[in-house]
Amino acid sequence: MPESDFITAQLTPEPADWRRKAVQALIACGTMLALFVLLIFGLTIERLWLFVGLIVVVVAVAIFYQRSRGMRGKLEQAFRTSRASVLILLIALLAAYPLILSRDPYLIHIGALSAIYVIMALGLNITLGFAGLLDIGFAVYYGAGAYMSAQLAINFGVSFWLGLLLGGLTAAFFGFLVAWPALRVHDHYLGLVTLGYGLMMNLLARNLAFLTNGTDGVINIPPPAIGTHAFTEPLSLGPLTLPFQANFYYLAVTLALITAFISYRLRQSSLGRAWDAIREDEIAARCAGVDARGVKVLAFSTGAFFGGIGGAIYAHMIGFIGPENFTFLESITILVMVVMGGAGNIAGVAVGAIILVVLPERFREFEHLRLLFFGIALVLLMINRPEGIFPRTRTRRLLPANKLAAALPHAQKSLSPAAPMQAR
Amino acid sequence: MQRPLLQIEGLSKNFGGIRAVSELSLSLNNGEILAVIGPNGSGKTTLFNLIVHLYDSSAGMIHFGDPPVDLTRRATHEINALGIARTFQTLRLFVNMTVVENVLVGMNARLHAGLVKAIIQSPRTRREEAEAEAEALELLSLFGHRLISMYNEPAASLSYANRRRLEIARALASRPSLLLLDEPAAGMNPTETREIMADIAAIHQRGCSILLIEHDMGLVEGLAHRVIAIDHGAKIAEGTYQEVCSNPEVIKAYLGSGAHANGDIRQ
Repeated sequence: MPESDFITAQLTPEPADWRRKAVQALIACGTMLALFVLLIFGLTIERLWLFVGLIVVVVAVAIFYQRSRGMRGKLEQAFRTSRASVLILLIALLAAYPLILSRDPYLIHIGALSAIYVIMALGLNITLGFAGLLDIGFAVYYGAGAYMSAQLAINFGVSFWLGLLLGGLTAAFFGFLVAWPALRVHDHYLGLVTLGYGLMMNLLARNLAFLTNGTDGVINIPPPAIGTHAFTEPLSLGPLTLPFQANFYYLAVTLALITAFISYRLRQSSLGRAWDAIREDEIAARCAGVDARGVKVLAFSTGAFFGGIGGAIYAHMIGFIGPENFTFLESITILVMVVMGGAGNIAGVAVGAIILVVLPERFREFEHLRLLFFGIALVLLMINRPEGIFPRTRTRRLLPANKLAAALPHAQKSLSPAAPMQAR
Repeated sequence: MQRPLLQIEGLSKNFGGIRAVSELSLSLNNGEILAVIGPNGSGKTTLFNLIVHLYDSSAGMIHFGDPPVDLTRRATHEINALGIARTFQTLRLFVNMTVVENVLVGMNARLHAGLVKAIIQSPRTRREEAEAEAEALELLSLFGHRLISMYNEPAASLSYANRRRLEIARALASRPSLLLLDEPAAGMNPTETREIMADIAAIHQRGCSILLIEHDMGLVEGLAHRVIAIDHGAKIAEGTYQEVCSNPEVIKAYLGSGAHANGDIRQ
């Protein structure tokens, strides 16, 4: 293609067709709404066999969707072009969730729990999805944040909000602690180091009774409060009174949205690019000026910070924290949320976390079979979709045409002399 | 006399019992194109890896710039920030990132990837990013339309020759004063080799000194001001292209005795 054609093609603005945009926004928002209704439906169905039927239908639709390229392209395009409306609808639906289910405190609790796990999975997504560092000891940070904020609140009367922050920072420190020595090793070996770290820390939590109260755990953790409104009191919104679980729900969902926003910002930044680079080829990245060690430690600590935030909310919501809350299995669960949802894809990881909270809750009757189903689902998914349900989007950001135009004076200058420059 | 831009003295590297680089000394003046030739396995790429400190040297020193900095004590990314950028013989692009992002990574040392900066994204940060993007596109346009027409595609979709070009563009992104090119013409056809020669000459014109490893003797002859031949990690000859190529030791170790007769080397 001649250069001039290419540049004209880049600079011609797409026709501002509001009707097409409106249709796309409608498609995207409609899909969203349908998924939400499906979720509510799935949560409230009484009979288990109906729920299983629903899952089968959803999986079938998902497989059909994956096979049909045209449909996939259209839907992806719709979501891309109408980001703002999708976001507004998402916030509205999240806000409406406790209102719709105001008679069912348990489901609001599940919602809050999902949001907590979304926070933690998004944290691990920074370490694993963005920077490509395998961390199989993520529950350590969960525990660090939970113990720190709980003990501060019980022993020193520190408010939840300060405790939340300090819990996050403590967790970040624990991330830093393992990152510094562990980053001498790579890939699977890094996984093994963090695995050992997780097991070790769990054992320490069981035995350092003066810090953690040993296997008895920490009980009677005071609930958070805003002013005089304690989170254990029902939430009254004008004429409507919601069960107290809604307090925690709104808290966790708000923090989850903030976490998602920060994740998005990180991904868009030069730091996110540096993480991409070390994930792709560390040697080349170092030669290109990326402080590999520095950005890796940053990825570990930032991820751990959100693990700690999740842990702190959990501790104050349940009111109890013990070593059994952050075992090896917990680390694996968070890891699977990230890998199953799609490492590196913020929305995918959030969906992965929600699925892995909701499904086990629905199948409580079959708790003894949980790991079996879990394993089967994971094996099937990894065979068919190794990059997760929502794979990472490859071309992360498209430089818009006006960026090209900004560089164009130079571009044209060097494009015009077709004759190669003479060597010497 | 002006201080050389790069001065290497008594540099050695042992891998177990193997001596990959053996008491090598060389200096590169500002504005010079210096070529390093020698048979495969003679330690050329090891030399590059030592300069950017991917390997720890066993002995010797590497001084760069004025006032001189001892590179053996600096981390790889710091060496990039000091003004040395390199390409790789075996291509090492970030294949899943877009073409323009590959170049933007090369500006990392200047953009200072920080956590707070990333989250806040102040107008200043945004302006820096926009400037970096403009500069990246300008660097891509050094290679005509070949790279810039693909700027938003993943680097994996580039042809082999374009990948080599992108490696050079990425290296230039850090605004280096010294560019290390590891076999820039490897695997290229004669036309592409001529083009890459012209490109390298143009980059040199921009005020970049170049240390070059290359097997294509035509390219070496066309570009290099001086040539160094190494074998078994040690320097066996140094001088102009003509001097080095007529050196009996170089002919024996690298060029082969038939080289003159076959006309591989002119004159």
